[in-house]
Amino acid sequence: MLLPIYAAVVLLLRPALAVFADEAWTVDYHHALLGLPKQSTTFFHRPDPNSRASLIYTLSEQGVIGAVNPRDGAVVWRHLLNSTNDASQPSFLRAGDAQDAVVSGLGGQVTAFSAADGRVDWQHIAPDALVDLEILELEDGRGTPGAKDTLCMSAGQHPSVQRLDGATGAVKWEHKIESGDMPYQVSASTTEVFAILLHKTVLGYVKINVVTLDPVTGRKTDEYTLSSENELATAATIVAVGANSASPIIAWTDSAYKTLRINVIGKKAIVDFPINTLGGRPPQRVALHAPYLTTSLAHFLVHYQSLDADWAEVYHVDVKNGRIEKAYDLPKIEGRSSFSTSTNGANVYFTRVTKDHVFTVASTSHGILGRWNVDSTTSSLTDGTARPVHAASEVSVKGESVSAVRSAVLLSSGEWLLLRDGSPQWTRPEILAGTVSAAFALPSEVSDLVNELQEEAHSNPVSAYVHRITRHIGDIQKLPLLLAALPQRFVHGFLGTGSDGSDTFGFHKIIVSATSDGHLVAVNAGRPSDVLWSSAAVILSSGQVWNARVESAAPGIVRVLDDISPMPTFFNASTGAAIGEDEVTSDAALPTSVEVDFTLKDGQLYGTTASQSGHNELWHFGLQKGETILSLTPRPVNDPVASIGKVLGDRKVLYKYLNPNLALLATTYAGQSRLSIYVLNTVSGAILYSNSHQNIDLAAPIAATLSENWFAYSYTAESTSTAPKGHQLVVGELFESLTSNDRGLLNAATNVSSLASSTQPLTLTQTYHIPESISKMSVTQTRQGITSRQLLAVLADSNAIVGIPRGVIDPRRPVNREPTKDEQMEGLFRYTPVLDFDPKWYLNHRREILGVKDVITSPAILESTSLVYAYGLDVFGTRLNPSFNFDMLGKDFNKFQMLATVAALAVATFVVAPLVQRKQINQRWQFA
Amino acid sequence: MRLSFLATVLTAAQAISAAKLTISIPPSPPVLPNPATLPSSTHAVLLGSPGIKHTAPLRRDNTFVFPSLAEDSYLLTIYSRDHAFAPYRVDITKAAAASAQQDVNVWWTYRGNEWSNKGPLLGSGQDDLRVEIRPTAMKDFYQQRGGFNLVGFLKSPMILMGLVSVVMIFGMPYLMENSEALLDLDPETKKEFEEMQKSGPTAQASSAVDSIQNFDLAGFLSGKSASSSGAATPSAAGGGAKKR
Repeated sequence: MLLPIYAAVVLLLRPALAVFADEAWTVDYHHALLGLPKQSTTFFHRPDPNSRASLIYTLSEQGVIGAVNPRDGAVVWRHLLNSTNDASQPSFLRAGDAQDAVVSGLGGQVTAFSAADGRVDWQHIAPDALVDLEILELEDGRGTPGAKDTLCMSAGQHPSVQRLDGATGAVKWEHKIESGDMPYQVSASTTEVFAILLHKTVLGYVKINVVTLDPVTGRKTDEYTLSSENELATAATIVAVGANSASPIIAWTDSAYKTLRINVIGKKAIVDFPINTLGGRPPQRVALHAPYLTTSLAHFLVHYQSLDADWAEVYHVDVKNGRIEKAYDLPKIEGRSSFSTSTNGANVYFTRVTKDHVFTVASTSHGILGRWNVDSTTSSLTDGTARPVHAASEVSVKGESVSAVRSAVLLSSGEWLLLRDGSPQWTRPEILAGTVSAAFALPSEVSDLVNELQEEAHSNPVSAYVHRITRHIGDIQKLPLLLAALPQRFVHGFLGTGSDGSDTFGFHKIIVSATSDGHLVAVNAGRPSDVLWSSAAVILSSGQVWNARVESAAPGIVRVLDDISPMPTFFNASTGAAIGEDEVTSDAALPTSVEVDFTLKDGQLYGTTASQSGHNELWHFGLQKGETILSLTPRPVNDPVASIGKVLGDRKVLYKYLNPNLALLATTYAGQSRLSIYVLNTVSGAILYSNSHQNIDLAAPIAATLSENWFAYSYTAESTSTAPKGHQLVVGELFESLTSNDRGLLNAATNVSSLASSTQPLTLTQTYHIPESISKMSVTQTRQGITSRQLLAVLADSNAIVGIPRGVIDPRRPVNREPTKDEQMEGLFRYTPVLDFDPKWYLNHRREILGVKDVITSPAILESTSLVYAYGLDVFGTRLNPSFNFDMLGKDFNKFQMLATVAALAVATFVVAPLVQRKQINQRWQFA
Repeated sequence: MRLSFLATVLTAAQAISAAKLTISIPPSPPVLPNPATLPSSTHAVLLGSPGIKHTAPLRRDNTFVFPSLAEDSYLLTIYSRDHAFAPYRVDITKAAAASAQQDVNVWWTYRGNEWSNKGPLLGSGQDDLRVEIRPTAMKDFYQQRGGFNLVGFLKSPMILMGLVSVVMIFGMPYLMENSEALLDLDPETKKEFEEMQKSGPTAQASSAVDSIQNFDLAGFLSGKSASSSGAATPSAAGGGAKKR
């Protein structure tokens, strides 16, 4: 009788492990990030030439190309072009004037995207790594009028310049550079194509060589050398090679920034301008801003940047005779400013963004056309903590004046900010795209109370009493404020509108992330839309990547370990303030000293003991010849387990093999497509379980995780005569014995040492064929471990994270037979070799999460809930209830319905009570 | 959606005699009436021998193009945000021992089965093949809440049983009275019937209800029999009602 009901309950429970429609966009949060935009690849562009609406296009340092709506900062489309995250690789993004296409170049690949929706137009593989990419703006009669052709220049063994058809990507011509010079850039005027090459002289200096090509045939028509023998030490002082403007220019300086030398490409004359430091320090950086259109005026701006100030000069080029004249100066302003160029028809405008103001000037005269104050509400720009790094602007012109200007400004804090006439419209926390490590931490307010309570517990009664009284007096002072906020809190709680800021359930944990450029960024999981604090933790030299690891050290305090300083540094999780190590009270819940430690050193795994005589090697994992360690996954330090056994359908118990010192080791063999998996006891070094798989695709991701008494790993296998081709997931579970109510050899033991006894667990494994590869695995965590767990798997191909319920991948699912009644009671069902990821398991539902590298989980105060945070490129977080939210009212709880029921009952009671009373009195007085 | 697929493809020798595969997504109502609505993140992946993986993004004309494929046996998977696609097997083989041409075949394949277990042939060609692939289903991500449904609530067996018993308890006496009136029984039979009713199941049920209402916990714990306390009920019940 009970069995069918139980089975029905189990069946009802299963689909409930899904994302509910009413919670889908509120409980979870997601920053669809692009990465830090580069100046040269960020611009406003109209995807539809007939419409005035424009989008911001960028190709970021993280290799993401995307379009952002300037209205609200939402991503319209994006693609992850490379997953290596090699910021040093040159990348290019160009858009032809009035074209519905943007062309990107990265590595050796040129791709044209539809500007409106991000679909691919064509792809072209350059012979080698690209050094430059340009759109050929000139119209030759034969080309299709719609799509403009692309010029690409590649380096390598056989450097060349190619002209690609704008509609198909086919190569129209190729010019091989056989002089042995290093290709540097490609540029085009209305009539000619120029290949700029660098010639290395014997003394190690660099000479600039210009090769003129015929745009129709690609044949060389002219070649000449600029710059003298020993003028340029490196290519770094070449300021700019203007491309596509009516008269492209090349500008360079000497290494001391004394003179600026400019040449109009195609003309042999070089004009020298002494650099005017305006009585300040010499510039540290010189940049050139010029319009990218052949139809624009040939004006450009030279931006000088010294240590503490910025200034600029505007130059005009006479297209006919190639003469360059300085037109006017833009004054020196202390603090950083960024300059950007925008065009409107033939007119060119320069926009300057400083800490307090946005100015727009026309290239023809120095009169300020528009000037706006940056709103003081902008946080990091106006309070001086961040400075503008670079900007891209779009101006709206009405008659002679500039009516509005929109600037997308990258701040040094890593925020991408849109200023519309000086007022901020949106910010995007692009800094988080470079997250290398993240950790959950409690807010420090929580830990303050804990510390005070601990102080009271550990001091003598009198002082503890005084301390407590003073604490209560302090609390009473907050009472009026609390009372005043009470009605609003009730209303909010009743209507479910917004949170009141209190965190009774522990959902408002702080996530501290370390980014590759040396920043620490904190986000509150309860209010994820804005960044809580952000600070530069270390100063890195350019190109250096911060290899940091963030951990929660104690409540309210995070510890950062990196390869720069030997000692960890500590930070307050709520404010970001650095704290000394002596102020940190160690977390009592975590074991501080370990008897046996294990380390992965030089590709070898060692177990060591700490004794008076230093570290002694206890064991060493003997790798076979050609075997290399792929990954090592220890059991999480904080991994509470509620029950030491599994209750079976007949109320008997199967004992789990629970050992805190477990680790999963994955190794591969050089030259063989073979994967070996070992479950180790990290104290004794014993191998508790091992398995080996042949015909494995080692280029595909191999993910592994270990929790409680079970482990999971996935790989991609090639077909054999017996095995299928595709992606597989293996789940194993360790038991003390496979006989119920029997603890095997551990039966009588109260204390067990891994070193003394050699109990081997019994392992059950099952393999599933899964639809796609898993790039990273993680397991949900709850406070007591009572809630069942979910295996979180990152699906890189679907841009998703799935939460696979533990019951579905239970290795005890009966194989080749229907489950018995006892097994049905337990919720086990028949094993099937295929495990399809139900779309309802997708934590991200319709969101697309790009480039996730890791997923971290943390318990909330509520037992039912686990907090999840995924990082890498995108940032995604949610709350999971793997076995329902049994300790909290969900959104399905209808407060109105409940109140209506209570009211109806009250009314009924008042109506019925007199009736009942009358009836009872009548009963007494009536005699049958 | 990684587009950097070319490190493996680009051995020039393969590129010379390599097959081209074009996959197009036709309009396929009701699942996908207009393929132009597919998001640009839709992409196709060909998984070859270990280390070989080609990715093709969705193009403007709703196609995926793999321009140069070497001889191999590939698993084709199409990933889209909102639509599910079946897996396919793509084989590129030499057409004849001496010829430079290559055969391209696309079959259905089934997960969890050996690789040789091919499904129906989808398309076959030489050097250049174009096949149409339709999505199998929409992905449904969201779980709907089971809202309060009065009909469903009343249909549940527990509620039905409860309702029947309520009808029995309250409806029977009325039914009996009415039936008496209809039958117009003679007083003797009526008396007999009432006697029977007093000792019958309904009387027992009502006394059971009484005993639950006036449950004497102390008495129960001290081992006093329930029937003796039940006998004293009428006055106790009346008193309780008066106090209210």
